[in-house]
Amino acid sequence: MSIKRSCGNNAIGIVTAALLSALCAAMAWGADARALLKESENRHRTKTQQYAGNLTVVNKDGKVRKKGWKSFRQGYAGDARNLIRFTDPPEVKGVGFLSISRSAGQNPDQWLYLPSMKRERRIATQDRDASFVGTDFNYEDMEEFDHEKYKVALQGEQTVEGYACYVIAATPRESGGQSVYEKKILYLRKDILYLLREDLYQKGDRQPSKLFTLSDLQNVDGHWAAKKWEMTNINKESKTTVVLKEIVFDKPQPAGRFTLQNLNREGGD
Amino acid sequence: MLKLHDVIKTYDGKSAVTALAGINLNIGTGEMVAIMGPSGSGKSTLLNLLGGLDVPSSGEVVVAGKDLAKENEKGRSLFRRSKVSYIFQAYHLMPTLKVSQNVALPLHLAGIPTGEISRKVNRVLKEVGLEGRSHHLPDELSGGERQRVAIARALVTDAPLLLADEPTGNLDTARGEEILNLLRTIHRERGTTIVIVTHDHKAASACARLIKLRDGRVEGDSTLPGGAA
Amino acid sequence: MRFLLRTLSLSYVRRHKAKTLLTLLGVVVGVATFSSIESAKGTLVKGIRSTVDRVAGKAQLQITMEGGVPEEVQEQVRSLPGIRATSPVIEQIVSTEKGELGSLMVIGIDLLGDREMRDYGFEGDDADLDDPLLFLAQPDSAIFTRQFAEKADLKIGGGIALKIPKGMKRVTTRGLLTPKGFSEAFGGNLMVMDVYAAQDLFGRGRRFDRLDVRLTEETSIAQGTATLEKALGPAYRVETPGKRGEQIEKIVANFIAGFNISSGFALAIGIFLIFNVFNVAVNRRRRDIGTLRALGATPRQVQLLFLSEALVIGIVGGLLGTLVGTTVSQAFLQIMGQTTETMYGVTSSGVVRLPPVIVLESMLLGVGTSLIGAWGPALTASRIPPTEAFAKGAFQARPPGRSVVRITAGVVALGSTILMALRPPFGGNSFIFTELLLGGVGIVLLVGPLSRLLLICLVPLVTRFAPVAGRLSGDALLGNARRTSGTIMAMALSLTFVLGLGGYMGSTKKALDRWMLDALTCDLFVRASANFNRPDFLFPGGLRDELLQLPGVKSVESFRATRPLYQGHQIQVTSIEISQLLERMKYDFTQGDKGLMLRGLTQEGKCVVSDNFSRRYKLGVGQQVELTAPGGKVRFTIAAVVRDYGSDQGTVLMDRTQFLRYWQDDRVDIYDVSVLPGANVAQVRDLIRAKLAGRYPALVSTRQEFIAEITKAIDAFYALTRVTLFLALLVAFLGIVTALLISVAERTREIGILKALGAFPSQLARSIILEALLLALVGLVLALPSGNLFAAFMEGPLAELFTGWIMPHFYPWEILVQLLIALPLISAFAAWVPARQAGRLKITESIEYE
Repeated sequence: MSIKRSCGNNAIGIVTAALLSALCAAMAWGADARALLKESENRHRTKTQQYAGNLTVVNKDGKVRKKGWKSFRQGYAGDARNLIRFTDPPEVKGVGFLSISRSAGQNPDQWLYLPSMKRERRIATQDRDASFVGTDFNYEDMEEFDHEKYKVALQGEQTVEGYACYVIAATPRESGGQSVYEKKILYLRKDILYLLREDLYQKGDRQPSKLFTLSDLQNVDGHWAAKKWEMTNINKESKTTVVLKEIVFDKPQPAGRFTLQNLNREGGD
Repeated sequence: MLKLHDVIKTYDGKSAVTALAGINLNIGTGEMVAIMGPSGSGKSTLLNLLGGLDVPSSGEVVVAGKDLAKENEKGRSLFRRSKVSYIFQAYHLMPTLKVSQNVALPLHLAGIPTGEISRKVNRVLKEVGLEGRSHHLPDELSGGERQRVAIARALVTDAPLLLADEPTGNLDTARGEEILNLLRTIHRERGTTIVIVTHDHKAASACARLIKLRDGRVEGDSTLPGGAA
Repeated sequence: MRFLLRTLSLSYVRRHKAKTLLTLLGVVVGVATFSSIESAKGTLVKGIRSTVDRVAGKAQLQITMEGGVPEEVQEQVRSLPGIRATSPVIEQIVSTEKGELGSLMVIGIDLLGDREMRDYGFEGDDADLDDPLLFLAQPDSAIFTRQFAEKADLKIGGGIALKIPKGMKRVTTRGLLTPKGFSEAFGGNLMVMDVYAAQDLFGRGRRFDRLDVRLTEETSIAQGTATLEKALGPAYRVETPGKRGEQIEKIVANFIAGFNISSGFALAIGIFLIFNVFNVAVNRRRRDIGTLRALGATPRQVQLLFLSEALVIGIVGGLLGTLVGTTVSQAFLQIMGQTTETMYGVTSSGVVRLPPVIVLESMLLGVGTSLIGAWGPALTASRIPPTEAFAKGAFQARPPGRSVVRITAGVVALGSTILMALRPPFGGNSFIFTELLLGGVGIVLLVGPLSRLLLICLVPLVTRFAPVAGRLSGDALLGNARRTSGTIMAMALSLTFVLGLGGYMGSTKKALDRWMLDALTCDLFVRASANFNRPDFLFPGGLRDELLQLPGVKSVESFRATRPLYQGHQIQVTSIEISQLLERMKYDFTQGDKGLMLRGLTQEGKCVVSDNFSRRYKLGVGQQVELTAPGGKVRFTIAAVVRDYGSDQGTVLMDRTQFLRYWQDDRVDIYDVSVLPGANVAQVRDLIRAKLAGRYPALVSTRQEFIAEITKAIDAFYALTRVTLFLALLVAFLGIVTALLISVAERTREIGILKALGAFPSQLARSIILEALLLALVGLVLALPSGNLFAAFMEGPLAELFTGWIMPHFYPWEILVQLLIALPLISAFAAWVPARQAGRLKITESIEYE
């Protein structure tokens, strides 16, 4: 907002104004983490997204567990609704996860559906730090990042994987619902304002206990998408990798997809 | 040593029995006396009174300066421990104890230190001629030997008064003679006052003085010429 | 003293090994009985307690409700201030296909959020929950403790079948718990599964057994309790785990209290055994004592000698008894555990650990009983005048003096016992203790003179049939009054115990049998739970209509029982369709009548209470019972009081409509099905089974089967009592053997003379057997009235104190008949060794015997 106010009312000519406004914007990026995140959200927001994910968990001893899921999302960040349905291996096929964001100040509603029990179970706020089905993600990690729920501050710049990045510290707002984390350090690729990495500090951590990295960026239908996610639990020395395939953006989703009824429907996508 | 004055002893039962009906008796230190009399004449009762095993119904029993009738149970036990020793017809050895242990028994009761006990026991066993038998059980000994163990047990405390109840009663003539000789030797060498209750004239004749009892009274009191002096 | 003990006593022991061994055995049996019962009891109670604690983990409060906590309560609780976390729990005890593994405690928890409550030890260094998603996705997933997995030879992915209400159910091992904290609960026989899978498996519907609650740091327990109680209302119980453990412990303690009586009896009998042995030892060693005294031993020294011997025997016996007790207690624990599980639905598993306190108590007991037993004889020994000790011929111990005083004191003690039982001046354990003590003293005082009297009457009778043996045994028995009365005392006490407790058991069983015949009058019982007191599974209420439609079915009633707390006691609240029930069932009314009951329950919303409820809480017809329903407190006026043995803490019965109205819970424990006249019960049963197959677990029993099952459960309840009865008999048997052995040894000389005079060994043997028979007979005759008194005490004041029931008395004829057959055999057997010993005596040796 402040950018618009300082630049939009400039009395100098239109060209100058246009030039300046571009300049101001560039300067403002350097100054305002909120604006950067907002811009990032604006750039990468899609109406829907769906993909097939291959999940690999490697624990400390090198033991590997693999699973497959399909993910559907409608909305983005603060208004996202997300349905994940496991497809593989057969023993877990049909297990579903539904996450529906709620207005600011409230944690999203999350449910896990277990076909063998033919019923969903609600994930309580107290359980947000529990491991999501044995991965290094917890239930909070399964939410879309919504910068509105954080106080943010630009901390500098750093190169990640060969890309220049803004380093932004995000601390959960008290009004943003309960968070597992005390702090998140976000690494935003400068050129396309795409998130490449998160350092996750849990309460009392001096060093990040988990690292979340996004790599293998590709442009799909005009949208950037990281095709590989990695969550590393430094304490437990385990790592969870999700490789995304069949990414499709903005494909209209059926109206009832993100409902409890659908979650509880046997095999319902 | 022994002074009995008007000693009466009756036993209460369905009908009262008078065992001693007024005994007056003096036995000096170092005497060796035999008491004889028919069954029921009160011999054993008299011996029990002298040894402080029993108390008179009335009268005085003064032994070594102590009136036993006035002593309590504990006092009489302590008296027995130090002043009197016994020999019984039936020996009354502890069947489960070895010879040396039997002999040591009164010393243990008196709380004498162990080293002294074994010294004393060895000495008296030698005195009675049983030094080689100290590890035997009473069952493994002959009657005469058993009685010698009993004598050794009587000697071990060095008590000034020795009371013997039919000491030869269970023994044949030869063994009886042996025991009497032993008693005489003890009397001679130690100067112990010895009172023997007996049926046996031979045993009585070993003594210097013979007291005859009948129906709880002293019937006769005489010095024997051939007895021990 | 040490010399005497080392030489005299030790050599005596060496010479009389058998007798010493018997004495020792007496102490060992007494102490073992005590220590095994005590340690099994301790382990059980502690196990229950620690299981509650360990399972509770970090939970500070636990929310329970009769019938289960509905799922939605969890959300409600979570939103309350001061609540950090909540976690649902379902607990169920099952057995596995491998019976030898014992009971397994299944804990259903919500693995998603439970780490707030419990530390599972499968995180960190040895992450052993193989795949959490797999665990959640597959309802057969189970996590076992490592120790159980080892015992059962289970590996990750391996399976084991559980016996559950629905039948056998195979579960798969998907994780292992490291043994620490939580996983040590229930002795490590622990299985963790998903709470929602547990709901389904154990028929909990959409309810949990309880909610564990952890409060935020700034919230105190009191604040948390207040918040929860306010939000949830009176139907919910909010307690700390410690309190809940106490509550459970209290329920079990009631049952366990009964064993204190057994322990006490075992001890008392042991004391008499020891008394007898020492008494006889004193007589036997009379000459030695005399010699000692002649040699200057003081009375004190003699007394100390015997007491020291007793001390040694006490210590050795105490040690051995404790050891034996520990071995036996494992079996006791199992029996007790099974019983408490059947009766109260709680149990604990694990290895009996011998707490130092019990070791100490047992040792003290061994030493104490020995000293008490030896005290009298030692005193007697010290008082023997040396001259008397030397008296020639058999020593005739004079009968204990002051018999008038003794008898008077005995009569007074016994009389006041009876008076107190009729009108208890105070209650509780002190009442029981006083009664047992007074009664015991009375019996002890009276047994001597009475047994003498009996023997004096009996001996001439016996002599008429067996002139030689009769006279000989009579002389032996009357000749040594102390030995005889000591033996008879032990005998009479054992038999009093056997007849009393047995009689009580019999009366209780008969009363229950009678009641079952009157109460359980329908043709088929459809249950979901094998356990009578803990519903493992409940049927939905709608099933009744389905059952009614089956051909051949005349009527179906829905029986539901809940067990809420009433004034701190777990009573039973039952409900059923009363009007239908009254058509077939015959109630025994203590107050009110059938008409009042029918009208009161069906039209006026009243209730009926059981006789024990009425007695315990002093409530009768017209008064009100206040019960706590989910919606709040409800008051029911009592319409009638009936005899009912459904719960030992009291039963309140109401019409089903009332229960549905106030409790809002239509689930059913048992469907009572009556068939149409002429219909085939077996066929109807098959139809019901077919109807329910695959949907609900269903145990369909005919009336006979159902009664048999309950009878079996009652029998299981008394299993341990039976064991203690057996022990009492064993002690009595030991007493006879000891007494006879001693009698023979004492009369060695006499026997030698008899043989010299031409007595046959068989005559001697017969006289000894006769002696044994006389001892047993007199013991039994004396035990008849005292056993009856004891039974009456248990059935009357004691039962009323604990349960409120006054059991009708039935004389234990079977036990008496059993005893009449067994006792002669046992005593003859006991006499066998001594009789042989007497027969083998060599004349020469025995005459010389000193």
